[in-house]
Amino acid sequence: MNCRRVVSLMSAYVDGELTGVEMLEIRRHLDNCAECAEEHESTLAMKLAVSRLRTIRPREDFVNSMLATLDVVQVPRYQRIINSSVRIFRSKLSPVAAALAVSGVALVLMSAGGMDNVGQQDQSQMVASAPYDGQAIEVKYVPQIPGNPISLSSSSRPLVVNESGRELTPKIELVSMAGR
Amino acid sequence: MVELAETVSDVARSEDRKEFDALVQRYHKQAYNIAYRMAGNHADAEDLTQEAFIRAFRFFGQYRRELPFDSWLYKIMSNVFIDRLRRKPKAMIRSLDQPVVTSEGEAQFDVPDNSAGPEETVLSREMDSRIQAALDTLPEAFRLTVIYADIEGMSYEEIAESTSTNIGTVRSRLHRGRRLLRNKLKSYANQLV
Ligand SMILES: [Zn+2]
Repeated sequence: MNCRRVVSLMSAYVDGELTGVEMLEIRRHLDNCAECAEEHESTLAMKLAVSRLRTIRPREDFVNSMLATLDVVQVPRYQRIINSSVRIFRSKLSPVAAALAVSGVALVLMSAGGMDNVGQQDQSQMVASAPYDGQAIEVKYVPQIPGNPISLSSSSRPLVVNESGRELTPKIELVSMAGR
Repeated sequence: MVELAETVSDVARSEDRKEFDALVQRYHKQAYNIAYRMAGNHADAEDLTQEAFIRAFRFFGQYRRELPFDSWLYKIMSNVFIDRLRRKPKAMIRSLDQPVVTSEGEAQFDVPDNSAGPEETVLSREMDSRIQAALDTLPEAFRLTVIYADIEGMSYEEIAESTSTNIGTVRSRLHRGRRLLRNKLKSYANQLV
């Protein structure tokens, strides 16, 4: 293994996240290469420094204030229906089928005008509003993957928060075809 | 069908709430520590923690009880922390070149380190603040990955799961994140060991 390769694996090496063979090869290399040994020291020192950061505690009454906040959080009706649908369908169907079924529920809701109430029933800023464009004519639903309500990757769209930054809107996208 | 679904979930809600409150009690400190290290200050740490639990509460009906709650919570925290911090300017921007100022509020909540003498404590606080300031400069996803690996002690596989990415990305974020940290802390490198 050359130095370049060793350096590129150094972080994973200090985490013990390489195969046994790789770990051994690097260990052997470090015995014979001062430069890489120094790189190892400093990577390890960095890891230790972060791991030794003090544990920061919240103020004493923080948990109570958080629980009190939950009292005024309403889970909007569409969310409760989606949640319970996911639960019901998941017990009977494959995840993909469940997601499709839930998307069906959401579309029924949309067409029945069920979403219109969401903004009105939500008086606190904790509750979602559903801003959508009345001119939109194509409805595209992004299905929730059961048990995986959120995702984090550069390609996925994050859940949207409204201006107060507090809540997410339902994962329903309305796409206007007018521009096409 | 809509009526039925609503009735069922109304009944389930109070039970869910009790269960959820117990989980908040149990996990909020851990979540707060991560939030603090992500945000670098108490005000934002409170916001982030609360936001994560609110979102968890809203999706709690979908939480599968056979899975550990903390892995589910980690996913939500990852999403909330990165999403919020990307949108929001920092409450407090600290520079490594400036002396570290500890706010009164901050000192009040810190855990005293009884094992160290007064001088050592000052030194370790100084170190702590420097490292935090360096963490603050990392891109959010790198910062979170470093925190999960080094503070939470999670495996690459667990981090990949929590941040909805693959192990290769975790590995690369850690590699690059630690290098960035190291460069920021270069002048302090001799005190790190
Ligand atoms: Zn070498």
